[in-house]
Order: sequence, then structure tokens, then C-alpha cells
Amino acid sequence: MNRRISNNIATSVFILCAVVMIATLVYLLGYILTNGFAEIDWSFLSSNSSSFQEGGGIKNQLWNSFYILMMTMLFSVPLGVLGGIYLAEYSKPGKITNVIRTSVEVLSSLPSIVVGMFGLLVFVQYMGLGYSIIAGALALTVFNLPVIVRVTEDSIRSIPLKQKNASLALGITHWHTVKTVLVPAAFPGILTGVILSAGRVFGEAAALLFTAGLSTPNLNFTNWNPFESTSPLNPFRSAETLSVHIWKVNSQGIMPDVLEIANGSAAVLIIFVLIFNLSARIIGGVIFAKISGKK
Amino acid sequence: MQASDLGKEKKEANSVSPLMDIKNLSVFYGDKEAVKNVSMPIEGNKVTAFIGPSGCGKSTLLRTINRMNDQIDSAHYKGEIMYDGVNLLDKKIDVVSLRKEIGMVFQEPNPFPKPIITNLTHALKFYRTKKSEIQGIVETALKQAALWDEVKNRLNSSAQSLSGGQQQRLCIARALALKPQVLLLDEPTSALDPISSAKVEDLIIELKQHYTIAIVTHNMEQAARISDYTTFMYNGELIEYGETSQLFTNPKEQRTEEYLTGKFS
Repeated sequence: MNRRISNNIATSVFILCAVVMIATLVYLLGYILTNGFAEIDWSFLSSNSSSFQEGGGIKNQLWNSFYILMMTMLFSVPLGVLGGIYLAEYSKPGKITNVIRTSVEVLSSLPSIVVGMFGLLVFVQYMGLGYSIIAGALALTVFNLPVIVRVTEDSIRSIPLKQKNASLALGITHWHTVKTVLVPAAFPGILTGVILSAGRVFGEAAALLFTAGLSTPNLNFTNWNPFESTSPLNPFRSAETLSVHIWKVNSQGIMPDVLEIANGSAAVLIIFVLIFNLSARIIGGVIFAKISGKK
Repeated sequence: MQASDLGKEKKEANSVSPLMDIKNLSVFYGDKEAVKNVSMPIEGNKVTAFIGPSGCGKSTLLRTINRMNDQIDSAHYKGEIMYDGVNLLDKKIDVVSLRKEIGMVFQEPNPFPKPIITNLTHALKFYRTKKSEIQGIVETALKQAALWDEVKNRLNSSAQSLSGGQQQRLCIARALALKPQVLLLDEPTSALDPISSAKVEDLIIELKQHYTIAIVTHNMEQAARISDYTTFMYNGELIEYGETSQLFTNPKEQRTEEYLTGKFS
């Protein structure tokens, strides 16, 4: 076989793979969105779900998803970013670092249903949090932390060593260099990673089944006192998120419009994940341009 | 040693003995001895060049002076580098104030990917320089680095929009803004085109009126053009140190002569 033919074959194989990949994605998105789009209207987004009648909405589920997402990020971002900085800049090669890095890797490959079981045993039962937003957020933190640690470490390590040397050679302390040179340069990467992981957290169901629960109490959206049981902000109430709702409606729903609700919810979920991903790119780019100055 | 002790006796040191005195310095990376028992002075307000083939230890020696080798876990030292009556290799030395006083410019231009002005103010802000003074320091440093006229109208542009030569002069300006006593230049022109290199060379000659400069270079012509003293190193050893004019025209050591005439490199 001559070189030109093998070159052409290689090129075609790569193009074919790309086409298969894109076609799958487009088909999937198209299927979910076309099926679901018709179901989405204001009343679907703003009314309570019903257990057996037609016409239920997803107001509480949508709210719960965002609330759990926010709380998860509140726990996992500071911890994960600081952990990533530690691994990239402060840890010395050795046994302890290896243990930490292996733990992070094992954590990131844990199946989410296992994280859910862990959450049930530790957060729900042992710590006595019950099926609650906070237990769900803690379980999702376990699930999300390794991603943030990894993204932060990789972003910081990808900054050329010469940047760090430049700052140290100017008589600037390690900590100030981390703060003013490394983290700002790594920021777009960290932010992109955080937002992408937010998409994953937003769509996660299995880890929440046994931690945040399958039901939501009646919420009173005029009561914003987080200590009252009907308040949407109460972190100790159980909370069914959008993706858990999809699973529950599909597997045990008895209302006549099960399919419509599932389709609509799936479309809403996908749209938000898409928004997260697009904004990750846009915001990352804008911030990078801002830090680095005009071209 | 306290930060304020550095440079206190600078003037006396200049007139009596060399500004810096390297005594029996050996530098190790693990078991490997990269610099072997080197002793030499670095004279104040002069340019001292370090030449020698790749891997001869000249960059290692330079990076030992401002303790940048501390970054490498396996690096350790023997011997002394005396400067203002203190040993720079002393464990108690505050490397942060040492590096403020002994500035360094690297082989590859490494401006921060930030606006030009931020590159200069980065360290000034860390040292809490008064806002009213910053503008003047920035302007002086950029003028000293012969960059002011080229960038004065776009101080807020990204430093990465500058050419390689401009970036390197920015790095020199960045070091000068801290008013160091000594400048260590680690092959500062090897990544630059000939015209930019010439500008940096002119700049070095200009700067030696106010600063003590140690420069590592691959380029022997460059060492001959700009330096007052030259050190030839080979395999971690100092083979010959002397006045540049003497070392280039009438080397004492055979290996120096062989290297200068291109018998090996």
C-alpha cells in the first residue's frame, strides 16, 4: 500500500469518527428537545407537580435542583480549589502525596449510586440529617470534589514554569506568587471546569435518590425563612430534583401524562446543562481577555 | 540576616574588595556535582560573563547566586557566596529579600500575561510602594530598559502583544523597577533575533554604570563585546577567570584557547 493511500485512509477514519460522534450528539439532543419542547410553557415551569392528575409542573423540582447545586458548589469549590492548589504547588513528592492523589482518583471513579449509598449511611443516618437538601449536597460534594481538585491542579500545572520563576525571581513570596500569578492565570481553566462540573451535578440522580429523597414537602414560596419547614430555603427538608423527578415519573408515575412530563423535564434539564456549558466557554474567554489586557 | 542588612556596606565593599566573592562553591543535584569547587569574584559595576559549553554549570552557578536552585528539591550547596559580609547560601538568609536585591532575567522572555504596566507594578505592589511613586518608578525603569518610547502609549496593552525583544527588555525593566544591586542575566539574548539582541547588548553596557551584571552566554562574541571579566567553565569546573581582553586574546589555559578557537564546544 503506498503512502498516499494510507494517509487518505487515516484521514477518512478520523473524519468518520468525528461524524459518528457529532451525529449521535445531534440526534440525541434533537430527539430530547423536539419531544420535550412542546411540553415546556410557563405553567409547566411554575406549577407544582401532581401525583396522579394531568397537568403537573416542575416548579419545586427545578428550584430544588438549583438549590442543591448551589449548596454543593458552596462546599466543593473552596475545598476542591484549595486542595488542587495544594497538590500542584505545595505537596512534596512522597507517600502522603501519593495517598492523596490516589484517593482523589478513586473518589472520581466511584459510581454515583455507591456515593448515594455512602451518603445514606453517613449523612442521612449516622449524622442524622435525614433525607435532606444538605445530605444531598454533601453526597454530591463527595462526587464533585475530585473533579474540582483535578481541574484546579491541572490548570495550575499547565502554567509555564517560567511564569512562576519570573515572580519568584522578583523577590515575591511563594504564597503571593500563587495568589497573583498562578491562580489568575489558571482561573479561566478552573472556572470552565467548575461550570462543567455544575452541569454534571445538576443532572445527577443516583447519588440523590437516597440522600435528598424522592419527595418535596409543600413549599410556600413566600416564606424565605430557612428555619421554617415549608420554606424553599430550608436545607433540612427532603427535596426531589429534576433528574430524580424524571426517574421517578418514568418508573412509578401513575398520572396520565407521564410521558409528556418526562419529556418536558428532560428537555429543561438538557437546556440548563447546555447553558452551563456555553456560559463556561464565554465567561472563561471574557475573563481571560480581561486579565491579560488588550491585545 | 535581615532585609535591611543587604547592601548596607555596599559602597565600602565596592572600593575595597569585590562586590561578591564566590568561595569554594560546589552545587549538587542529588549526587551529581554540577558546579565543582568554584572560587571567583564578581566585581561591582562591571559586567562579568560566564562562557562554556552546554551543561558546564554556568547557569547553575548563576541560579545559585539568587537561590533559584532552592526550587529544585535535590539541589544542595557547599562553600560560600559572600556579599556585603554575609553568606548568601546561609540557611537563615531570607531568599525573598535576597531576590529583590539581586534581580534575574531568564533565557526566554517571561513577561506575565497581563498588561505591560502590571508587569512592572506586580512586585512594587507586593512591596507596598506608595501609589504616588509607582508612576515615576515605572517610567524610569522603562526608560532604563530603552523601552519607554515604544510602549508609553499602550501601557495597558497585553505584554504578550510585544515582540520577543521588547518582551525581554520589559523583563529587564521589571527587574530594574526594584532597584536591585546586581542583575543576573541567564542567556538573555539566546531567544532573540540579531537586531533585538544588539539592543539588549547596548542596554547591558549602558546599565553597568549603575548595576553589577553577571551574564551567562553561549555567544562568545557577545561576551567579548560587553563584558569586563570573563569566566570560562567546563564540566562544572572553573577553568579560567580573567579580564575579558586578556582571556580572549591571551588565554592562560589550553582548554580555554581550544574552546575559544572552536576546537570543541
